[in-house]
Amino acid sequence: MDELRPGTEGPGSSSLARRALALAGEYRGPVALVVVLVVGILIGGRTPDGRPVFLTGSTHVSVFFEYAEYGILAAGMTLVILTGGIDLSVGSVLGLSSVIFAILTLGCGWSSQWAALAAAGVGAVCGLINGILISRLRFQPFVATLAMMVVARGLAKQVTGHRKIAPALDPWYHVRSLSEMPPIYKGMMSPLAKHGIAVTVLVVPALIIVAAAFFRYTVTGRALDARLFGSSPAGRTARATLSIGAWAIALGLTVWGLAPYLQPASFLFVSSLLLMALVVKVTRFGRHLYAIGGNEEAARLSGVPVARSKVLAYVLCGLFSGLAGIVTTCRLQLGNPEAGATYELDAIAAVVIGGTSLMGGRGSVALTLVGALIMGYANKILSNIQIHGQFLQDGAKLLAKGMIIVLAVLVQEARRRRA
Amino acid sequence: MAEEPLLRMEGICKSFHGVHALRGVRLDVRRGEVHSLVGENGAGKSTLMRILGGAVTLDEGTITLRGRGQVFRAPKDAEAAGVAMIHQELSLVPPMSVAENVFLGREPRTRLGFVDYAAMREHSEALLAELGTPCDVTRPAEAYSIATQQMVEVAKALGREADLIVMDEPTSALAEAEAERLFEVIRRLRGRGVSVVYISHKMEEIYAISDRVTVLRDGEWIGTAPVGELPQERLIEWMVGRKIEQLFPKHAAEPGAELLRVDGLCVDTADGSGRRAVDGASLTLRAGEIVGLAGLRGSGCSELLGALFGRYGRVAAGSVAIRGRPVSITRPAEAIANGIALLTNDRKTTGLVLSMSVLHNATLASLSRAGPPGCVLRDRELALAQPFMDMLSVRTASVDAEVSALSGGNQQKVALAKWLMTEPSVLLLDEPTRGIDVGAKAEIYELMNTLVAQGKGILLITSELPELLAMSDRILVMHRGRMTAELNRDEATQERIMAAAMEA
Repeated sequence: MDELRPGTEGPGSSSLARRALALAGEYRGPVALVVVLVVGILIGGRTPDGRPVFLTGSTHVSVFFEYAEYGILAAGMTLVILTGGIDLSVGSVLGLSSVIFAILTLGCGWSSQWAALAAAGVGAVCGLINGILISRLRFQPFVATLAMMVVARGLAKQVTGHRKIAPALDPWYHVRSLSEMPPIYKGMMSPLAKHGIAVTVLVVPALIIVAAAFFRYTVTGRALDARLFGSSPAGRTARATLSIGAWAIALGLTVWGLAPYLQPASFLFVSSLLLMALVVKVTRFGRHLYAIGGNEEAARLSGVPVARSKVLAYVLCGLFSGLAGIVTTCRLQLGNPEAGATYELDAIAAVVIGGTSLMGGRGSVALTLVGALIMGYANKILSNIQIHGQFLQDGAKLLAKGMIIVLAVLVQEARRRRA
Repeated sequence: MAEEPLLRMEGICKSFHGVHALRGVRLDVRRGEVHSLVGENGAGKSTLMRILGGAVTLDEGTITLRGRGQVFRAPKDAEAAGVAMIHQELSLVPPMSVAENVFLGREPRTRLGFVDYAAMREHSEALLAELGTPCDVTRPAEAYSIATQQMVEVAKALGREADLIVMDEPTSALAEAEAERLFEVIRRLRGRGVSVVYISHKMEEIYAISDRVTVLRDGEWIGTAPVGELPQERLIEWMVGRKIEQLFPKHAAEPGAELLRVDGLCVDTADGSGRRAVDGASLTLRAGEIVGLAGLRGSGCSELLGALFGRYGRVAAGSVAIRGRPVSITRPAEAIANGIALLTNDRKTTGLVLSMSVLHNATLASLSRAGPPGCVLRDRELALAQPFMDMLSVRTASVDAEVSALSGGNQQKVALAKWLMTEPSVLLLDEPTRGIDVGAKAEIYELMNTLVAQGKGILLITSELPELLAMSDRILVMHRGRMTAELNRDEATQERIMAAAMEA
């Protein structure tokens, strides 16, 4: 409702600066990401020929790749956290789905599609159980998913007999050697194409984004916008269509431009988050999540199917855990019943750093993508950084990571308190 | 005015994001005085009190307390200066004992440094007895009624030696008898030389309890006068800036077809004790009719509306028919599909999702019409909401503003918009005017008349008897879950309603 927005102040450098600051405040997450990137360029290490590694494409590709499982988990986790819940079981469910995928493909010789479906299905079933415990039997999400965390881990160890599932470890295994492994194991981890389309493709989406920002945030842009489309219903629809189209083109070109460089694992990461961002923004289910997280009783009294929506949120969260399990199996080239331990903490951290409230009802999946990238890039900086010629050790990295989480939440809180 | 007042606030200015909330407001409170602060929602009462309580810092102006200039930077500064706040939402810790609550943050210690529970118990018992509310101070605060909890708050304030207590709509959650007891306590406080700043939207209360009244409107000071020199019409004129010719507009009752018939409805209490919250209630509601429901706290009126709306699942016994067709409503979604709407009596906890925007709240119950199946499109949503926002004249900076930023009256309008959007034929309105200003009240009465003129039926609960008498075509009185009287418009009086509400 542009016509209901309070009027902007007149032109002038001070008001322009104020508007820029307000805008930076509104987009705190992306701004923080940019800050992390700049820090990365400054101290994130150099290539042998002296260039900052953060200015090389391969660094960015590797961040997406290394952070893929966390990002996929965070997509489902955001849905659950929006309802005011939490899912502590994602790491264990990842482990369970990982070993099931490995047993089916390596042990029993299933084709990778069916094995993937089964592994993802196991994740969804775990989520379903979580959802039913929480919405029908009124367990607290923390307790129900804590139990699932233990049970899924136990199940993973039980079905594998406490061993890692790798080729030729046992006589009954279908796959006897590394070279016999199904193609998905290699495919998931290697770039889609060796020959990329020129990065210039990226210029087009960038231009579209700049144009959109011009129309939305500048006085002249808005005036032009109003003159072009007017405020009649037809004009509004035209504008909505055009802007959706423009964003679709920008997104499509970005994906097309990056496709040759990215691995399917990274794709799953980005597309899971983008898909869920869309689901949350444009579906009734998404709106219901916000309403439930904001005020469950008011939502119920407004006819929102509270139990069904919650169950669906946990099922989706489980499904994404299953997907992440498949990615992990391919990454490790084996099924590890210990895989995914403590991953739930990284997933929750990505959601919180993005700015989604643990109390529920406030936040978005798009912000989680930003949060996940902040975590991913921060990890990259920490592993590239050298002090007196020495790389940081794990302890120091964890310390720094904890501080990043505290800092990010402080920044979000400062914003809420002022609002 | 020879005597120096206890509190003097002068030239208070405060703006938020460039919007003036207060402009040159003043307030002076004498020792041992009950001073009512009135004004419409958004007039600046809350901001002024938040400044006095130290929760908000002022832009301009001075606060003088007992002749000394004060600068409150945080709530603890105000507390240290002897100012206590009792908000609508009580600030007790529910599971802690009454005594612990009274001494929260300043627990007496024994010589060994342990909390001195004996002293705590003794002192809090004495304070509460003095307030005429003796109670077992070792039980948790949540075990007591809201009324008693309020007394605990007062005791907490007195325990801190506060001599200026601000009460923000303290009676909004109290039954009449409880409110009467609160007034008794306020009079006692006055006797002790404690001053009370009293905020309320209820005219009778203001006249019953206060010595002087200060009126704010649109962030400006309109006037201060002894309550005896300020007739009610004048007070309302000060508040709304215009004369409200008729607070309760008359509507011509032309009852049409039967919309709702309830026979022998029973609802069990939620505590599982097997007692009945509603015990064999029967009623009919016709198109174009407003039927009032009256009853004291615990009479089961609200539970009756909740049960009709499917709030408690399957009812224990009884039948409900809509337009002559028997229905079994076990979920709110089914009630909505059957053309029933329930405006709950507490918009903050059950009416609105405060973290969502005005638009998203308004369309929450009608999302199936806001886009293709399963989807919500912003344009469709706006088109759906706009007529109702206009009709109810919801005042908001933007439909994307969080609904919590709106004043009480406007929040209530958003809740109403949500229900009107579902195109109901039966509206269940539970305290539709609670805690909103007189201007917005008049608008809501007007709206109710428009709705019944369109052939809808309204079941109305209100604890304000004049409102009930003026708006209802018929009045049903409940007592402990049972219907004890049915009064027609011309035979209903406050006395007859109260008699039926209290007898068995």
